[in-house]
Amino acid sequence: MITPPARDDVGDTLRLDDAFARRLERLRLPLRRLGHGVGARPGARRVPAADFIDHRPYAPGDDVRHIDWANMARHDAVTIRLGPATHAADVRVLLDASASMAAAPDAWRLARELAAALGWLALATGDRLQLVTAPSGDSWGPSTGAARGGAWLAHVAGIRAGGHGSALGPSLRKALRAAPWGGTAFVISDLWLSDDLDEVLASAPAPRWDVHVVHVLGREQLTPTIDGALALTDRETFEAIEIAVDERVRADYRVALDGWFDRVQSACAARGALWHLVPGDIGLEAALGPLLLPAAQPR
Amino acid sequence: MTFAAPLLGLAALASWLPILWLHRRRREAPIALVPSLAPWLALVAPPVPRRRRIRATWLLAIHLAIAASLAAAVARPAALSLGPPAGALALVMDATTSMAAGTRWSDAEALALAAIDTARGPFTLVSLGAEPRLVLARARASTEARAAVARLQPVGAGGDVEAAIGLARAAAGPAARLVVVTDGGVAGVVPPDAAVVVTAGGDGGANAAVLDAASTRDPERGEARVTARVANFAAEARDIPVTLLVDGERADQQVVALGPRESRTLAWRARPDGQVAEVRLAAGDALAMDDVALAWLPGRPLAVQVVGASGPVARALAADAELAVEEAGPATLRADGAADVTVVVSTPLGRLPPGGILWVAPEASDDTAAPPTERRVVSGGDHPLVAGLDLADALLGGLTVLEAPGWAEPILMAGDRVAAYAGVRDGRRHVVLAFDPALGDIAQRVGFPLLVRRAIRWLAAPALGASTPPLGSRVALLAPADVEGPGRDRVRNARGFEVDRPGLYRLYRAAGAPIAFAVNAGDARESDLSLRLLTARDAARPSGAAAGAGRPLWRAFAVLALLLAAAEAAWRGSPPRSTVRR
Repeated sequence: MITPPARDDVGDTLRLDDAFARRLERLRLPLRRLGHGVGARPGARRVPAADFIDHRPYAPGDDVRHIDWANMARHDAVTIRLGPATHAADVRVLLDASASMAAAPDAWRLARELAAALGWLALATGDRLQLVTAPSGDSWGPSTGAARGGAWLAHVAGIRAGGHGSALGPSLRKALRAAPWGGTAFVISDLWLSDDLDEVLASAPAPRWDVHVVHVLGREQLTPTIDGALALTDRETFEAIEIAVDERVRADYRVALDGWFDRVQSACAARGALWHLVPGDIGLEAALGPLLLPAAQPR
Repeated sequence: MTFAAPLLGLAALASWLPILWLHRRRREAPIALVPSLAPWLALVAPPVPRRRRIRATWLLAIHLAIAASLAAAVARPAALSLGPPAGALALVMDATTSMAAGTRWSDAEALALAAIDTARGPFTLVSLGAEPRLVLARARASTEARAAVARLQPVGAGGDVEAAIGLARAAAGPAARLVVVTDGGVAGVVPPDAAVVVTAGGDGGANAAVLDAASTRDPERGEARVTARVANFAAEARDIPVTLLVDGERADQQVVALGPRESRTLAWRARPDGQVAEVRLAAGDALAMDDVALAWLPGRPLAVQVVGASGPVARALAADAELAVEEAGPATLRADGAADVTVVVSTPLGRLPPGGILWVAPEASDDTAAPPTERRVVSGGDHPLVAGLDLADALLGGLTVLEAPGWAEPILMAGDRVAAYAGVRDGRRHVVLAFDPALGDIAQRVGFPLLVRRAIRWLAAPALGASTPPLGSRVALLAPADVEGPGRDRVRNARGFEVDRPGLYRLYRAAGAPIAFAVNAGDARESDLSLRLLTARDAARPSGAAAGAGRPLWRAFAVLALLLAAAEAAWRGSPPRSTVRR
C-alpha cells in the first residue's frame, strides 16, 4: 500500500507497496466515456488489428499483415482481421488543498493517498491524467503512461495544504478545460467550500463528465470528541466562537452534519455526480473500494 | 522631547498594573482549530457576533501600548523647538558646575546638537563658564561644531550670560540665530530673539555641598585649623555625614543636621604635619562634584625680610602670626629666594631680591616726585588690597608722590595725590606705600595692619594674585612656571593654565618655594540646583521664545491611543475573510 507519511501533513514521498500495486492493477477506474487519441481502452469502432473480433473483405491499401490467411484457405476469399480501436480516457483529479484540509490530518493524508492511487491507476491503464489543486489552481499533466508514475507520486507528495480560500469552482473548470469531450473527474474535498457545491458541479455536466465527489472528512469532524468551554477557531478564516461543548452539543452537531450530508448528496444527485463519503481513518483500500471496479467486469 | 508633567505621566503609567493583573486573571477558553465553523454556528443560539480572535500576547501588548500612549499624553509632552532652520548659528552653552547635575549635561549636549542639526552654518560656540569663552568662531562644518560641543565640560562658577551672548553675537554676526542652552541657573538678560532652552534633567533640588574649605595655622598650639562651610539646598532637613580626611586618612566623621536651605561652618583641628585636608559629604545627590572640598594645610610661615626700620610696619608684621619676619640690611639681603617678600623702608636698593617687594616711604623718582606733604585719605578705592578697609580720613604724612607710574594702579588716594599703588613691573609685584606710616595717624587705624597683611599675601603669590582662581577660569602667569594639576600631570614652562578641574594645583617657580592651592567646585549658586533664574523671567516674556517648551505633543499621543483602540476593535469586529457556506 502507499506508505504512510512520517509527518502529520504527509511526507515528501509517496510510494506504492508492490503487493498493493498488484491488487490495484486488478481494479480499474469506472470510466464510461473515452476521449480522443490512442489509448489502451477498446472502443466500439473496428480497425484492422491482431485481436480478432470480426472480418471484412480486403481492400486495396490494407496492411497485408492483417490478412486472415486461414480464413482465405477455408473460404477462398481475402479478408482482413478486425479488432477494437483503443482509446484513452480523460481522468481529472481535483484535490482540495485548502487550510481546512490541514485541520484534519487523517483526512488530508487519505485524500492525498486517494489522489495518488487513482492517478497511478489512470497512468497504468494508459489514460490521460491531470491533477489540479484547489484553491491554488496548480496543475500537473495532462500526462499519460505508466512511466510517469514516479513523477506523479512525487508531485502528490509535494502538495501542501493551507492555501487561502476554499473555492473549488475555478480549479475544477481549469481541470476540465483541456478535455471538452468529457471524461471522468474525481473531486476529493472536505466540501467546506466558499462557493456553492451546485455551481461547482454545474461546470462538469453529465453525461459528458462522470463526476465522483469523494467527500473526505476526518474522524474528529464526523464524531467530535472535544469537550468543555472552547474557542472554536476556523482554520481558514480564523473566525472564532466560544462554545461550551458537551454530549448534547455533540449530538446536535451530528444531527446537523447528517442534514448537511443529505444536502450534499441531493446536490450531487441533481447534477448526476456520485457522492462518496470517506472517513479519514478507514484506510486507503477501504476508501478505494467504492470508487473502483474489478478489471474483469464488463463495461 | 520633554514632558511638562512627568510625574503625572508616571502615575498614569501605573495603569499597567491593573491591565497586567486583569490579563493574568483572564482565563481564555483553549483554542480548538476546526476545519470549518459552519456546523457549529447552527448550534450556538442566539447567534454570536463573529469576532476575530487576537492572541493574548498581542492583545496585552496593544492594551499596554494604549495605556502608555495615554500616560504620555497626560505627561504633557512637547517637542523641543529650536526655531526654524537657520543659516548661521550662535550657540551659547552654559558650562557652569550646576550643569553637571544628573542628566543636565547630556540633555544640554543633545539640545546643542539638535540646534546644530537645524542650522546650515557657520557655527559659533561660546562656553558660558566662570568667564565666557569663544570655543568656535564661524566654523563651516557642523562636524566641527559637534566635536567642539563634545569637548566642553561643565566646570565653573558664575556665568555672565549677557557677556557670553555679547561674545557670541560679536563672533557670529547679528544675523546668526542665537540659542542659549542652560539649566537656568545663570543670571543676566537674554535678548528676546534668543532661543533659550532650559534643560530639566537631573533636577536635584536635594543637593548638599561643601561650599568652601580653608585652613589657618595656630602657631601657639602648633596646630592647623580647618574650616568648611556645608550647605543643604533641599527643601527639607537632612542629616548629612561629613568626613574630614588629612592626607587621605580619616581624621574625623560626624553627622551634621541641616535644616532646609541651611548652611553651617564646621571647624576641626588638624595635625600640623598634614598637607592636604579634604572635607567630604556622603550626600549621594545629583551633583557629586561639590560634595568634596580640599584645602592646603599651611606649611611654613611666609618669610618676610625687612630692610630699614619703621615702627608701624614692624608692628603690623609682628601681629601676623603666619609670617616669619627677618631683618636685613642692604648688604645682608637674601637673594636666594628664601624670602617670599621683601619690605623696604626708605632704603634704596641696587639689586632687587626675588619675590614681591613692599616699598614703604620710598624716595620719589624724578617724574613722580613732589615735596613731602600731609593729606588725608579721601578714597580707599575698590582695589582688592584696600576694599572694605576703614582708612577714610586717615592722616598721611610724608607724601612724596604725585601720581602712580604707568605700570601701577593707585590703591589709595589722598586728595590729588596717590598715597599707595600696586602693580607688576619686570615680572615682579610691587606695592608702594608712598607715605611714612610713622607720620600722621594712619598707623593708629585698624585698617593699616590689615593693609600690610593683604599686601604681603598679594606680593607672596605673584603668579596667582591675592585669591585662588575660580574653577573654570584661565590663569595667566607673569613668569613661566611648571604647573601640576589635579591629575598630577605637569606642564613645564607654562605661561598660563586652565583651572578646569577641581583639585590640587601646584606651581613650581624658578626661584622660591612652590605655590600650592586647591580649587573646589562648591559654590552657593552652582550647588543650588533649584535655581531657575532664566526660567522665571523667560516665562514672563511675552514672546515666550522656546523656553524649554515647543510644540505640544499630547494630542498626538492621545490620537495614537485612540487609533490603537480603534484598530483593535476593527480587527475583532471585522467580518471574516470569507463567508462560510455549507
